[in-house]
Amino acid sequence: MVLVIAWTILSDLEDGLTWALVGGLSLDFLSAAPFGIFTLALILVAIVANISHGRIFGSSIVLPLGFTFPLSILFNGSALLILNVLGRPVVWLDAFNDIFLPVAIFNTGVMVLVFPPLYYLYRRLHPQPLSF
Amino acid sequence: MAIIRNRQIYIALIIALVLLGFGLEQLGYLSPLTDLVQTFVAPIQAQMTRTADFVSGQVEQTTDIRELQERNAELESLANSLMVENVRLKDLERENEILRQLLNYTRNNPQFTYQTTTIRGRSIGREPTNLLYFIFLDVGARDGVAKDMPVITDRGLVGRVTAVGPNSSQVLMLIDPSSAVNALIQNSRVTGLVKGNIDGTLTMERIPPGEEVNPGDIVLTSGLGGNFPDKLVIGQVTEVTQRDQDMFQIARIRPTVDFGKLETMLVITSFEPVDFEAEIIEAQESEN
Repeated sequence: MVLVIAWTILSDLEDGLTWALVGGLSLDFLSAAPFGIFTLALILVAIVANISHGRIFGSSIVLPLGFTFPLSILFNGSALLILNVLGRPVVWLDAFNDIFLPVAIFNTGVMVLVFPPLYYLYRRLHPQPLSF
Repeated sequence: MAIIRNRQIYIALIIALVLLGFGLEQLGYLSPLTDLVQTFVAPIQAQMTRTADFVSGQVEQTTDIRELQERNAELESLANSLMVENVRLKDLERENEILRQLLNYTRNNPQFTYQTTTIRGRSIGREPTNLLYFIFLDVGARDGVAKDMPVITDRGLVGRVTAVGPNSSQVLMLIDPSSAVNALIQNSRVTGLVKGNIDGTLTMERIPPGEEVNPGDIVLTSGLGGNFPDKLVIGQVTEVTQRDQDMFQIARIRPTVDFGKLETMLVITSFEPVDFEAEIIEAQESEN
């Protein structure tokens, strides 16, 4: 999920959706949850993360850090919402306190570590032409 | 021809000189000459001997070092293989301990038939997300495992099989929020429903008001509903609460099974859960 957010902010929606598909399908194949839930949730995350595309802080770590926390909650929340619609009992307050919040904090910390090397990698893959 | 003759003369001369020298040496006339020669030659000989000794020593050292290196490599290899063997033996010892505990459990509970199983691999054997509590086992339909069979360890109930493949099966753990097990308190026989929580803990709900439930009480499966056999250990009561607006008491349960360290488990293959819906439909069809 962190990778999807970071790459969508650095690149564009197409790249973000590709990562969302890869990550989501991997989770769906390994999970006992109904197939497709995590792919859908990650695609949603990529679409929302794309809102930042072309913004002023796109290349700095401020934007990905600001996005990771709410998007983590969005990812887990949307996945759990689909599970709830499919009949799984959910106590939302407990889910927020015990899952959403700790995971969002953890993912924000992971983004601090992951974004700089990804930024470097992206610049190596897509060198920007000099403009005068 | 001349060359051959000269060579023969030369050889004969050498032989004659050798014989002369031998004769003179035997008669004692050669010793002044040998002493003179040795006087001049001795220091050179000594130096040559030292040099030869040094070279020989170096060669020997090199050979020794090579031998020591080879020996060292052999010992290192032996140490490595012993270390691997030691790890394997420790692992076997641990597995043996677990299997012995499971064997004791099966001996104490002979009413069921068991199928031993292990988690296929810790990294891929568990649910990859933190929203669900499932594990995947390396036994499936080919081993006699079927849907809804209970899964236990020697410490108590783990959960039930929810999906079965030919060689693997998926187990819904007791701590999953969608899991519900009819249970009773061992001493007071008070019944309730043990449910999982999203944080991986257990609560016992629907405990009738006024019934005495205390921290430390042991919670067992009651067998009601026919989904699980009775008398399987679930856990121990840690806290009992009843809010004014609630009809029932709620107890927090500490599971006896450590769900984070599941390795070897037993699937109770002889237990057939009762499918009430199917039985009702069957009864209705037979009436018609």
